[in-house]
Amino acid sequence: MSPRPIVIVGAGLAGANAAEALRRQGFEDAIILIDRDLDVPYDRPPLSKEFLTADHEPVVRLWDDDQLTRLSVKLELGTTVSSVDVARKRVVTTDGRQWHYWKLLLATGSEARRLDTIKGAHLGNVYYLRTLQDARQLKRAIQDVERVVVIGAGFIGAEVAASLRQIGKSVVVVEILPRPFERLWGTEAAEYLIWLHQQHGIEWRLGQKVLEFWGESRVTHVKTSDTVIECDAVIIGTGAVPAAPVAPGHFEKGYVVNEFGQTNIPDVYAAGDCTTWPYHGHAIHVEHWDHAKNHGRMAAENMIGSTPRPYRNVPYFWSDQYDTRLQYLGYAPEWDFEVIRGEPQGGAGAIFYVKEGRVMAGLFINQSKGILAARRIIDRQAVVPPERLGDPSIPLNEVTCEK
Amino acid sequence: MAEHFKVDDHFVMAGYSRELGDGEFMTAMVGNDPVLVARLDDKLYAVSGICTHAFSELADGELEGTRLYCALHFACFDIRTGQVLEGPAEKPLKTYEVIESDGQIWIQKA
Ligand SMILES: Cc1cc2nc3c(=O)[nH]c(=O)nc-3n(C[C@H](O)[C@H](O)[C@H](O)COP(=O)(O)OP(=O)(O)OC[C@H]3O[C@@H](n4cnc5c(N)ncnc54)[C@H](O)[C@@H]3O)c2cc1C
Ligand code: FES
Repeated sequence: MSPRPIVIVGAGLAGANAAEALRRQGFEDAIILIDRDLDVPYDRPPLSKEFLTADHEPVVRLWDDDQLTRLSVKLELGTTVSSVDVARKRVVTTDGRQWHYWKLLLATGSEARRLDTIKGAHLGNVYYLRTLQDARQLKRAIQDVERVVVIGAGFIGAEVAASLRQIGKSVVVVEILPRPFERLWGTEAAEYLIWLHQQHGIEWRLGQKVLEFWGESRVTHVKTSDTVIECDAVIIGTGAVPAAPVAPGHFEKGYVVNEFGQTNIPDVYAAGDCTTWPYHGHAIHVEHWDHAKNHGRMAAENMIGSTPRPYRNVPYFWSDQYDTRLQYLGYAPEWDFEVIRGEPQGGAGAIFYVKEGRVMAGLFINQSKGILAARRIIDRQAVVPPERLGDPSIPLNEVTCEK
Repeated sequence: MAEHFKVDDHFVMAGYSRELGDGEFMTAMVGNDPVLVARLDDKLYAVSGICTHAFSELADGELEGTRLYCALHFACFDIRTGQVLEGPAEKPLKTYEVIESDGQIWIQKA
């Protein structure tokens, strides 16, 4: 028996990066990585992008056999954790097995938000996209369909819509908000994105609520609050929710963790999509790749490190839609004004979101150059004169007046 | 040393020496491949300009001393050797022979 086993629940990006970090730091005891999915660990971002558009099936797995051997991680796949006995320090699975842990990392991620209560949601050809299995099913199904309805213009919905257009499907997107992306990015960016999709042939049904799916065994129509749309398949992209908690303890839109990745239960850490964590005085919840990767690594290092290191990471994500790359840095639930740099609506530039004089966040549209400088500005929530920030002739690493 | 190096048709011109200050990098095309050339403490280094992780252009990234950062998922490479210093990249960047002669910078083709 290993004296100090570390159990990681969830072999997504956070869990996998945690395991790698433990070995990198020289941890030699057992690492048990448990996941209900049989295909993990793999990378999810390609699933809505090149996975759907490529002729072949792109490789998404994170570790090849060599790496797996080198990491010497005990993978328990197809295994669902049902609960954690914190008094006896044991992880319990649905098939009745138990693992003792010295330290435990919960990295259970998110799940697709389901529309099961809507009439007809069980019909054939209604898809979600979260797992590799989902993506394979979807990729197979779309070979034979023409007209697809995408429900929800979140990132996954928007990316799937773009991918399907790229392979010649006719795509209608139903979105409950009159202007998707607006709450996060403001009116200008939202209008640009709506326009971008329109340019590529997407038909929007904005401000409409899905009421029912019709069909005998397969879906044939989507009934919305305003209209009825004929279709051969439906893809539901109505966002994600944190996986249901398996351990007791503070859970609010994910396990609530401190800056070291610790939950309020001794020796239990959590990382990635399944957490709420402190960022500049806010408790935030982030469902993006960069955070999952870094958070998993940080939690792992803190489990075995003698001096815990606080997590410091600017929330970040990218999204590829057609040939447009969007990158967003920071956290800005509200802002006083936007500073435009370059021509984001013209297809290349940035929008910064400023509150009380401080740069809280930035959206970059086909404008990767300078993003590392922007990340430092946003990390410090620096005060930058708007006229400098908005002047593309001044490089971003020179716009601040502060030291 | 550089002056005696024979520049022949195995080399492509990257640019002029005066265009590349210390601690800076420039991009050049070698065939169809973008290559980054950097000057650090009077030495020149050249590496592939495409990130080995998901093929983003490293010219969009940033050079901090010897550390070259990718602007898409922030992988970090040692520009002198192409080695990965931080993930998500796993494979090193290809390096190129680079020479400076008569105020010009030349990169050796693959
Ligand atoms: C299609 C798609 C495209 C995306 N594109 C982008 C993008 O372009 N940019 C970006 O920044 N982000 C993107 N993301 C988001 C990014 O992939 C996630 O933020 C990231 O996967 C989160 O990693 P995680 O490890 O926290 O959780 P997950 O990847 O969700 O992994 C959690 C794992 O835990 C397992 N699990 C959960 N509960 C249990 C249990 N009780 N027992 C056993 N196992 C369990 C699950 O099976 C899963 O494998 C995308 C996501 C998807 C689905
Ligand atoms: S493409 Fe460079 S880090 Fe991903």
